[in-house]
Amino acid sequence: MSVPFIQVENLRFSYLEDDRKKSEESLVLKDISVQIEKGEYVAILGHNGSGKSTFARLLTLILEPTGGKITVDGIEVTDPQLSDEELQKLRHKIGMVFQNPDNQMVTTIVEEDVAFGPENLGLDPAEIRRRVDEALAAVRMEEFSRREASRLSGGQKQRVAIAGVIAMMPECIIFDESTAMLDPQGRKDVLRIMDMLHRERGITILHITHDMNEAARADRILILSDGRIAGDGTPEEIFSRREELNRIGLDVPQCAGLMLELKKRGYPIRGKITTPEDCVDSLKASLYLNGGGTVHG
Amino acid sequence: MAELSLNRVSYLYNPKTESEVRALTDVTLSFPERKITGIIGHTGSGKSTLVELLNGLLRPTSGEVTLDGENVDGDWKKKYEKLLRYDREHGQKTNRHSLKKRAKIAAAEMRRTICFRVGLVMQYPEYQLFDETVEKDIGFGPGKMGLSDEDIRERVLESIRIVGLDESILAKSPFDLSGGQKRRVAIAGVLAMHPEVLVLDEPAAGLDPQGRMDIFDCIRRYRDELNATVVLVSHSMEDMASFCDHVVVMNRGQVAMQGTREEIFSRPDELVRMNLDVPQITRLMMMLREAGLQVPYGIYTVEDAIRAVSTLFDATGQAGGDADE
Amino acid sequence: MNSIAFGQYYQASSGIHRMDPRTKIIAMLLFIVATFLCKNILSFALLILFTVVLSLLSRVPMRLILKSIRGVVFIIILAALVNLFLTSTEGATMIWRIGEWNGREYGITQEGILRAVCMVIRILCLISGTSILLTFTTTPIEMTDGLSQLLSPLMKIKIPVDLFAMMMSIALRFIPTLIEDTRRIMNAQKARGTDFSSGGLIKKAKALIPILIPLFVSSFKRGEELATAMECRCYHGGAGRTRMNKLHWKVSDTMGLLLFALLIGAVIVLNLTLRGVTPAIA
Repeated sequence: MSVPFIQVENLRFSYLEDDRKKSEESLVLKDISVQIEKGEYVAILGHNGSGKSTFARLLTLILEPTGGKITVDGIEVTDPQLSDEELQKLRHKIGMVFQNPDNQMVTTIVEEDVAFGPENLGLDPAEIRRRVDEALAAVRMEEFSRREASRLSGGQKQRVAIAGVIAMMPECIIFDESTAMLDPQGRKDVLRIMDMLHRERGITILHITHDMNEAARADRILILSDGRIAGDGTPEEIFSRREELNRIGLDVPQCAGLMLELKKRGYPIRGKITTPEDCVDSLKASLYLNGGGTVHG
Repeated sequence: MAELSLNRVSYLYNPKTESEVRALTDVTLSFPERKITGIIGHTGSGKSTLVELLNGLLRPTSGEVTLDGENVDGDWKKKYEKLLRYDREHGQKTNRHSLKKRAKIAAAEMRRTICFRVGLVMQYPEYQLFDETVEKDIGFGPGKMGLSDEDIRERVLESIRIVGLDESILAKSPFDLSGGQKRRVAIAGVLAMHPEVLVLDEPAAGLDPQGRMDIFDCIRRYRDELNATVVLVSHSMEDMASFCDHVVVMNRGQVAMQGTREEIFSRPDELVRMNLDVPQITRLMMMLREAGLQVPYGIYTVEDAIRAVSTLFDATGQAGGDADE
Repeated sequence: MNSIAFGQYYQASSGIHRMDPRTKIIAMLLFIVATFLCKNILSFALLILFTVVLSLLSRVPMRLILKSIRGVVFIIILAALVNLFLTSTEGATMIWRIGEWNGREYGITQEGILRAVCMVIRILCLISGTSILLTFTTTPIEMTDGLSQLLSPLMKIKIPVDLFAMMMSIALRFIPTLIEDTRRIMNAQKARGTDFSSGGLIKKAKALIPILIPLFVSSFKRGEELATAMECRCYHGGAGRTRMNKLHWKVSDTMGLLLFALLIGAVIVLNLTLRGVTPAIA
């Protein structure tokens, strides 16, 4: 199959209702074309107001584009002829986890909230029960199933929200700054779950963030700036374009910053630079090649 | 002068009930004047409680929070005891009735002014915006202080400049601004009260790298221009390392470590043991050490790391390729 | 810190806690009818006995039940006084005569005392019985579920019971969030010098503006985001929706309801057989 999972062509979007007022400036998304394959782990980076969240809402069919085309799994979702039923079917292929865990919980009790999505799909109660238990186990929240969601920590709430999406069995999950409001522990838990969903279940992950360290975990980074794609490549490729990133209000992780600066000063840096682990390997290799005189066993 | 300190402060939520929770235990701290002190610790370590104690929003269950030696929660009995003790120590005859009166007046004055003297910027402060225009909203606090209209106007202009926004924004509705602008307007609303101590709880949460830089710049500008003391709560170790002079580490309601940032970040192992993060660059240095490379302790900025690693390379160059393994 | 006690639900494991909420709602209605049917001393005694047994079965501590009564003490006293002084004195045994007004005698009579006592018992039983059956042993969510299922036949006449149930459930879910928001905004405004405790009514009302506006703004934002999140999770109204947890009607529920029906029966029988034997009240 050569058809990509998500194909976006010349996507344009404006929040203004009136077509005549949709000048170039009012466009939040100006011209976006991108393809995302099944099973990819993509970080979407951009400063506040770069159009990242709008892009996500278009992909989940919450918003209708002003222009352009979105195809999911070979079906053109922007086709106005699409029936409501077909739309619903497409919608549960792509799940979304939002930034504020408090604003996406519908019911008081944890397991009932996880059941909300499957209930909307009209599934059999036994099947819903199976999916809810499985989803809660996947995010390690099974012992909280009868608890009140309002008494959980932010990270725990967010895990419940993820379980709610998992229970819909989507093929792709969009995380819209889902870690931004969490404490470090909550962040770690959510990031670990994202990795797990990607690796073990082959779910396509789109992680919208402006945290460079989090973006470094992805296979591919898309950079959105001013409603356009300003960069598309592996973390390695993206982070090596530091000046460009700085210009649009972004930065590179500290370890990448170190390696780039060393390179700039003429030190022979070889290898990867995106994570501290990569950097240790690269530095060791470079130092050994250079003599390795200070290595003590 | 603004010496804010805690003396053996403990705090219990819902004391003497089934749901009693001990949030702080016997915390003694003082915040160095005109310095930026960072408070770190994970959720539930007592940071947020500490913040609300600093300007009298909460009253300590025991112990005392003082600003220049005066109790900040406006409890007149504590002031009275202090006056009584003073009289006794100085061998003065005590008129209990007039002392009580003096204590009550002083306490009431403290209650009224403490929020202006210790300014608190809560988490996601943009949610406190309410007035029709940015100007009115920033002027709300100064208005409560009883300043004249001209003085308020002056304060508004000054604080909008400190947070780095253009004056043209003043006439707009605060609800029409972008996220980062709202945040800065909310901070300006606190700065306009000219607090001697500025306390901020996660002021940069949820902002992009540029937005974070802007916020820290305006905090630094305020400290420099008004000689204020700053207390900053944050989860981001990287921000702490690049921005604070002093660091206090909270763990389980107690002060686990405190000192200059050099002192704190040269003990990264202890931070890790408390399940706290260290700046990524510090972690990289720790990992290099584990891998057997000789890098010094106490590296917490990229600049220091560049220096340390270039020394390594330079050493190999000089050593001319003799590995001792 | 975050444990905002919601409603008066008392966590315990008792037969009454486990009952189907629908049973409890119907039982409560039956119980209310029974209290109003009581017409003589024996039926009141039965009512008291029934309420006491109910409270023992529920395992709700007596002090909590008494606490819930404290709120209506004023009404109880008022009802007692009205009955004490305004019961018709005609043919009654006068104990303490106050005087005559508009050709009617006023004073405290034996019958008046009896009526006042019975009225007090009736209100006490009414309050404690209904709170044991509902507020103490049923969570608000169970109550919503029970009520919406009981009312679901109304869907046939195009009353959107499922929508109301969803609204109710969301409202319940957001109460703790709103309380927390209010606390946070109040603290933020206090930190900017707002004083909520002093000043007259107008000043206090004015001090609420900086609380209410941000509260509305954040609630609208929450609402908007929630709507988006619900849509993302394929919510499209009640049609075609199934439920994971269906309410299950058990044998014990039928038995429970029978007991309440028996109570009414017994009260009616007592009323009929004892007519004229013991003094009738009300």
